Amino acid sequence: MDLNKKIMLEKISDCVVDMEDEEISDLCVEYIENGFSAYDGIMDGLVDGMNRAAKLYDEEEYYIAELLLCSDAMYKGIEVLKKHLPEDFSIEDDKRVAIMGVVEGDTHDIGKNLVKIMFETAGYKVVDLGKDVLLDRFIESAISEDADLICMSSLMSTTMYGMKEVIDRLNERGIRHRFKVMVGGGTITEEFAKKIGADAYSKNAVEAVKVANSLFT
Amino acid sequence: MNEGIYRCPVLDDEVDLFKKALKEYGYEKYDISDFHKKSELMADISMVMSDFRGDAFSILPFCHTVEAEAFGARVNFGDGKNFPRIKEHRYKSLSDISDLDDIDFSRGRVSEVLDAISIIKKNSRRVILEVSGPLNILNALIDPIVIYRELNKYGKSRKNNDNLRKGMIVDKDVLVENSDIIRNRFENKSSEVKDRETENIIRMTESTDSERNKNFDLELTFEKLFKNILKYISRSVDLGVDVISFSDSTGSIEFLGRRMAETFYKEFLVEFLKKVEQIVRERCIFHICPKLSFSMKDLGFLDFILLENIIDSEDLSYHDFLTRIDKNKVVFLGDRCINFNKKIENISFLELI
Repeated sequence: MDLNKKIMLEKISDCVVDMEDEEISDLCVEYIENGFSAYDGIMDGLVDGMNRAAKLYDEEEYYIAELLLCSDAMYKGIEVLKKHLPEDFSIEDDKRVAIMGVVEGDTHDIGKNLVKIMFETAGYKVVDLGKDVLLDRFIESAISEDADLICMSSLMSTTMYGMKEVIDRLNERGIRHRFKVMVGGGTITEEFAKKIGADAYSKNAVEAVKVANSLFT
Repeated sequence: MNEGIYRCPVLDDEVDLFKKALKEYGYEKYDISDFHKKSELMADISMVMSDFRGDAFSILPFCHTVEAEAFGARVNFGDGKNFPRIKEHRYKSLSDISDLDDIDFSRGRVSEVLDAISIIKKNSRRVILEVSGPLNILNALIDPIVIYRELNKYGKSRKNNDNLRKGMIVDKDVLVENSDIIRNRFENKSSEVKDRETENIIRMTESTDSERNKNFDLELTFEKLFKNILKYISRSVDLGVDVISFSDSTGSIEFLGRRMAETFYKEFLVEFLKKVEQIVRERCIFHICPKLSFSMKDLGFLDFILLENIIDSEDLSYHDFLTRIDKNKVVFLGDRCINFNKKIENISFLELI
């Protein structure tokens, strides 16, 4: 690899890790002006930086706000680089589709947003339903998007049984087998996930990607 | 395991308990949202819930949207299946929030909560008031990424400008006054005088605040939030509230990370807590949610000091203990979750460092 390109990719990756949301746009413009591949810039610069940030999160060096700021920088970089991808470039067809949201009654969506970022970084197409999501919307969206996975989160003990309700409704409609179901959130435990019939539980955003991948192998 | 991170205990289903209490005491005929909106019903159901749980305290309000609503957030009161929650982030920038008018405590749900406290106290009951901290309020008003961006930049700029900070640090001796003076400040005074004393405490550090760089929207926003939270606390204490349960979970290390949490505590929160101390001392216990207190302890902003070992045979719950605590000796508690009202073995109080 061109030494200059390697140095620039490292700088882009560092910008993500260091949460430099202002510097990163100029750096990505400079990278493109040097004639380097936008795809490599995304994968070996921005996504590499996000994966390093995720590792720091996993090691409890970084926490939620820091991971969000890293993703903020990553998305700023993507805004610049994606305009320079080849016109016929598309990896959408190969992507697994995950429906994601915080269950009805609960508005705590920071954790869900982190999971979304990590899923997108890992190459999933995420359909983000947001927070306080009506339970049937998970099902309707999963059907209309032909999703592979339904991911639900809840921070509150008062709302976590909404997840069970979704799984029960999937069973009632005879379509439970079509989707993998993952749950997580502050009050959720592995035991709870098993009890309500979910396929998987993840304790944090970084682990969520590994767990999701393992469901499809 | 990071000692700065407190894992919440699994609590009973509050909504379920709430509904059971409504049924048992014949309140089913009311629209459930009225229990969140009308002082009489709020007070009634709070007392009913305390009886239902066998709890020494009536606790209110029943959701964490009151303060945010007072700052303009729109609330979804739901259909009784869930407690009220915020509909969407109303504001785009911090300046939208710092430009808001101060809370009018004579109007809206915040006024109903204060009236409900009066009603409960007239029934000779003990009251816990749940109060949201600035970051929890901000999280309801604006996309948290906006707060994190500003706090991150602010922390970096403060690090680069330590000299400015020296002019801001509040002299602890100025704030830790003789307790007689503090008692006299509020005791047997009219509400007008009490309000003026609260304003004085809020202003006490404004001369030092003025040395800050007011260009930072973050400073102005926190100033706005803290000022109004202090007024809310002060008014509730005037009405005789026994315990204030202060929660700012999104200000913990688990959310902010160590660097931004340190910035928040050092530059804003400690100063606020010193003002709280002035207002509540010898009048009310100020309980800090352990999500926050554990983080502050871990970063060296407060200490847990053993107050008492409980004799095993006493079979004392946390709330039972709160009824017998000497308010003259303790201001801050928060070594456990206030909503996990189980048997305790020992208890520590918190001291700001």
